[in-house]
Amino acid sequence: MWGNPVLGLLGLALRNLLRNPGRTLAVLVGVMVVAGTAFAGGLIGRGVDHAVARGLDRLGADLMVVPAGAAGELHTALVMGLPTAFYMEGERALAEIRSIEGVKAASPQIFVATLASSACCTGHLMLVGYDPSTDFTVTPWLRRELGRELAPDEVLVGNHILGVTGDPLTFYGTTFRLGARLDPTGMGMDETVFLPQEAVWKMAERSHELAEQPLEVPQGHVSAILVALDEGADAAAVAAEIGRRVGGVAVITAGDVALSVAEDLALLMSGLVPVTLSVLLIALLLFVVLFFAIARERRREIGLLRAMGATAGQSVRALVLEATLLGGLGGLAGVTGGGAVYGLFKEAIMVSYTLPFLYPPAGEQALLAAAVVVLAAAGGALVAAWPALRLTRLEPHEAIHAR
Amino acid sequence: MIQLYEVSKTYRTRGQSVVALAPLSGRVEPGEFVMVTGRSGAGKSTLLALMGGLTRPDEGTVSVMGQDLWSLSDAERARFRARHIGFVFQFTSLIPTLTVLENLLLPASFLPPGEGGDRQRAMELLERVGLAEHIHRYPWQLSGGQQKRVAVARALLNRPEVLLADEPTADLDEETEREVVSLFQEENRAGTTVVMVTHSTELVPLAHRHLVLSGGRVSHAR
Repeated sequence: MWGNPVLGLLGLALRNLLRNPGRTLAVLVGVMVVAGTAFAGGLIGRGVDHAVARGLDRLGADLMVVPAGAAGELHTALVMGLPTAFYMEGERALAEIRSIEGVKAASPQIFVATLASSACCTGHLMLVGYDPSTDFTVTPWLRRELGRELAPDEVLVGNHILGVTGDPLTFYGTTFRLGARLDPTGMGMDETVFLPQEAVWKMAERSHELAEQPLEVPQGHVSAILVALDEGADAAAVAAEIGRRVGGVAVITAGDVALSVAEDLALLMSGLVPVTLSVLLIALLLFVVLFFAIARERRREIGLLRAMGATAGQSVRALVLEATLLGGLGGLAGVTGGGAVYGLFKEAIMVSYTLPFLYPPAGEQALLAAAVVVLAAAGGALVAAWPALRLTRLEPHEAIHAR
Repeated sequence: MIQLYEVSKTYRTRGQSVVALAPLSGRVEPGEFVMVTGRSGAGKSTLLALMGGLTRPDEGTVSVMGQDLWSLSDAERARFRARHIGFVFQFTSLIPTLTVLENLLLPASFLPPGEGGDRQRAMELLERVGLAEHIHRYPWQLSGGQQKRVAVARALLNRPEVLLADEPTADLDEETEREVVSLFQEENRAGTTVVMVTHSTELVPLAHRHLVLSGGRVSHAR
């Protein structure tokens, strides 16, 4: 055991770090930036994956049928919750889709983009009118969590919509009550208000009397048809068949959404990864230069320790521990700082890259943070091991008299 | 106590060879106080380093207390040094980030618990060198003479049988020089074998034996 009976190896390493606080701080900041960027990058990757998995699971649809040309808008609405509205003929399309082999269920949805004007609406939001008799997106959740369906004047809100149960929400002059709140998904659903499609029709009808600007929803039209497939059904084949039988539509698979998100994520990462690698390289060089300089500075001390009875390994252990501490502390600061900075700019980053995001479970975040800290500490130890190894090759006499 | 047999050492740097010590044999008896003098580059420090196993001889053998130092592994030699040999150097040899007490206890940390000196021994030594009041001070808070006294006390912590001192009184004023040498004499009277390198010829009469080195050879012995 190396260690001063009073101080201990850890205490010695910590004191050594304080020998030159400016230098220690500079390296600490370097490691912190690398660790912070790596942690934020990992968090984004895992958070996006988590959001896509959670969002698509909640949506419950394998395919989404929308008017041709509206696929892009649907993607933005699904991922970011940006209000949008488009319509297509619904009855015939629904009947055709339900008759296709492999289709288990099909349910229409009507999209309404509310207005930002306070005279009209609570806010600029996306309303989704669903058909309670066929819906498989929110109805099962309502039955499970609320034990009932929504009353005619109630709405179900996404997790990010402000308000508590019972609060009034006004859209196009009609006031609804907040009936329940969905769990967070990190996708556009968090910004969406769900209500039965009958309520949408009534709201549109009454808007002519109550709203400054009436809501026009073409009769018999829908915005999207959500399709659930039989187990084992080929999504691509069913999508192609829908496209063939129902003209003027675009069919989006859940896989398309995930793929599109992955592409957006890759775009973000293509900017982040080179930055991280460059900073890593600089920090690594800084670390190498620093520990070679420290090793040079301490040659005499190392020689003295060996003269006093330390083995070659024991004499450099404090140096390696010092680097490990510096890496670990920098990693810890990076994880904290990176997490905080990311938290502050999350919205801006996600909107710029149209990415969904849901913080991964706490355990996963802790694991990611621990991995970054451990890697930073191990990196420090590895870098310092190099000059330390060179020092151990010096004879004590040579180390003591080195200039 | 210390036996050198046909020991030689040559330093090689950038293709040049410098003979630090020509083949040399000799003994230092238990309880002896030996002074080594000579001009700079005469091989005094190398001789001391060889006696303490701090550098490997090119040829020959070095034995301390009957133990051939270079037949031991690095770890065994380190343990042997910690247990049996104390060193004092010319330069400030205290670790700057450790307090006086922590510096003093360092040699004990390289030995299993109970084998080296303990806190009580450290306090006794600090009393002897008149620095018991300064245990929590850092080296930079001490004068050069005080630092040297701490270094001497540290060399004695594990009660070594051999004390090797490389110009321990260089840069010290006369009074501190006297204090340091009298410490060595006390230890020597208590049975410790002392080999001390010095430039100060006035100190020579205090030793039992005097060796003069010149060009890596013993040119004179008394």
